[in-house]
Amino acid sequence: MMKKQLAVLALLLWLILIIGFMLLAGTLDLEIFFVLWLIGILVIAELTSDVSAFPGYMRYLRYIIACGVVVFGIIVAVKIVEILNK
Amino acid sequence: MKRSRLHILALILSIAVIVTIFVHSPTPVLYSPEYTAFTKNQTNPAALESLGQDRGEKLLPLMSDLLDAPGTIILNIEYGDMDIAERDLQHFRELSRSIDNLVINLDMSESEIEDFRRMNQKNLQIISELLTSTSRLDELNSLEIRFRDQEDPQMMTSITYEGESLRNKISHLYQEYLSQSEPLASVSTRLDLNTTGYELSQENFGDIVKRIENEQEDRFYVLQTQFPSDQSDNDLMISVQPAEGSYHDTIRISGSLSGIEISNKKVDLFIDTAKTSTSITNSQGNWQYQYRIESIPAGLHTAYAVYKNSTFSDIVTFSVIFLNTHIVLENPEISESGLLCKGALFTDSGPLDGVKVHLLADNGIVASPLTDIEGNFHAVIGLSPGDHQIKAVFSDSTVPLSGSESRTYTVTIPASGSLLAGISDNRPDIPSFIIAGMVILGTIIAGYSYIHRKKPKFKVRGTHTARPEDSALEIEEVVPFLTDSSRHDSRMEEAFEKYLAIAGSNIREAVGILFSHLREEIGRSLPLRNPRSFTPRELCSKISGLPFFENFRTFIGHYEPVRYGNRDPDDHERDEIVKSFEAISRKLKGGDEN
Repeated sequence: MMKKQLAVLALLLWLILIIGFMLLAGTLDLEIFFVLWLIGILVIAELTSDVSAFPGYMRYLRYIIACGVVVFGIIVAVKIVEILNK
Repeated sequence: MKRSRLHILALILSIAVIVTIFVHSPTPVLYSPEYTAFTKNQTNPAALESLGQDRGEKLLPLMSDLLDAPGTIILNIEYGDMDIAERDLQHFRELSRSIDNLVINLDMSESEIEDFRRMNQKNLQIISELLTSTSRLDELNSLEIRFRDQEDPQMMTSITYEGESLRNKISHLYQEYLSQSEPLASVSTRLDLNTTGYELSQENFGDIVKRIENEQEDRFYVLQTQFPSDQSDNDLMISVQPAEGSYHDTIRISGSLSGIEISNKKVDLFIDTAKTSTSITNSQGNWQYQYRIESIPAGLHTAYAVYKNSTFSDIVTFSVIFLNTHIVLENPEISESGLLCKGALFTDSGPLDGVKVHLLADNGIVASPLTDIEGNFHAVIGLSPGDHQIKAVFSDSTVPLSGSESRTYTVTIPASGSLLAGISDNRPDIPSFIIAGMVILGTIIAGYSYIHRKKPKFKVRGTHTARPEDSALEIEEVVPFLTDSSRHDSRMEEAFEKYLAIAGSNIREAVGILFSHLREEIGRSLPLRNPRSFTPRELCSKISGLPFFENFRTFIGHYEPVRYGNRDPDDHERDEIVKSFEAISRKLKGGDEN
């Protein structure tokens, strides 16, 4: 099985695990889901990246992760504003 | 085929994830029986049915217990068992809460049950006050014995006056308890409840009142006979006007000091035995105090004045009237600054000013504005997006006013206005915006750095100094490494001599020496990490495409059966091994390819 396919499967299993636990907890929080997705994709990107080779899909993955980090920053900023204005 | 199956599986899982998120994201709180109470548009028919079926079975025994509860407490008070009475009162409170919850849960609107519930609440209040007052009277009895022995007339007067105040209060409670009797009996008869215990409790209550009156008469008798008050040359008078009032009314308590040196003297005023103020007499010895009714319970209260801790006035009483309040909340308006809630609080006699009203969103207090002179209140509250239940509540047990609750409004806060609403409640907060901006800027920089980060350089472990940067094996790049031919020759000759030395006796070890030599030489020439770890076949796969590949394969073909199979090679095979070894060595050196 190719590394790329393994990464996709691992990420999907991670997301299913998150949703499973959220369903068991009785609530779905999209913000938490997003943050956990970001953590998952960061870990997978680090594990799949090769020291000598740099496949094309890793380049696109980097852009996706960078966008995710920015969205994460926005979520944190909104939370800070909410807490400070309470 | 295998890859396509993986793709299909990944696609199915992706769709499952996306569908699951989108199905639940609009209403993230999932339904379960414990959420029935606060999950919108959710009902649990099974639960409702079970509650409805045993409604009468639960309610009537509970009402019967509530009717009997005051009797037990009063009996214990009569016999002086205050601890047991306190425990029974706690049980009475719990029973009362049970009936309140039951009536609310079942949405009962029958007048009999509602009347019963209201009268029970009143009984609970009466019994609670009775227990507090009798406990204090018990303390006074102990103090009286102590101060009588010490012959302290001031303390004896104070105790007697406080006892009088409590006697008045308990008498008033008794009258209230009796007034409950008829309507409660009427309701109980209609619901077929036994009221014998309740009737008996009234008799016991009457006995307590009689006993307290007797004790109080004894106190007055003792005070007048054993502690004559005419030790000073002054006399103090007191009066109240009007004799009753309600919340925010003013009671004028005045009096006069007579005797010698009556001008500019301090007179202490006690209300319900607590020192409330100190007034100064004028030149005629008159004094007065304007008492504004605020934090004082409804009912009968006593007042008396004391001069120089030795001259006591008579006891006067005044009554505080309990008022019902009504609170009105207008339909909340959603504005840019938040949710605007306006309303008014008033009693039957007019608006209530200067009191705190609570605004509740989803049963949590979100604002507590004060009413103005016309009883109006308003507040802007910030709420998160979604549906909210808004209502206004007035509740203050320290004032002689009933609690009241407005109607409940359901307000939907749009998602776009959520952040603004939260911020506008406390005006725009610049530091928080700066911090938020810095966080966003930081994450943008972090994202940019992540895209443009450089990987650590890969370092190849090995001894060859002239190794190329790229690890890919290229035939053209191998050739320049084949240098230092004299050393190569000497190493080859050395290995071959060793081979010849033991080839006759131990051919297995001999071919091993040749292979080890070739492996070392190939490892020197190619960028191989740990060449000693390579098996013959791994080495063979690494050198595919190189000039000596065919010779090496021939060598391995003879080497493996001898080395691993312990096969004794014939002379022809031995020649082949030597020839292929020499050919490889030559080509590694850079000589003739043939």
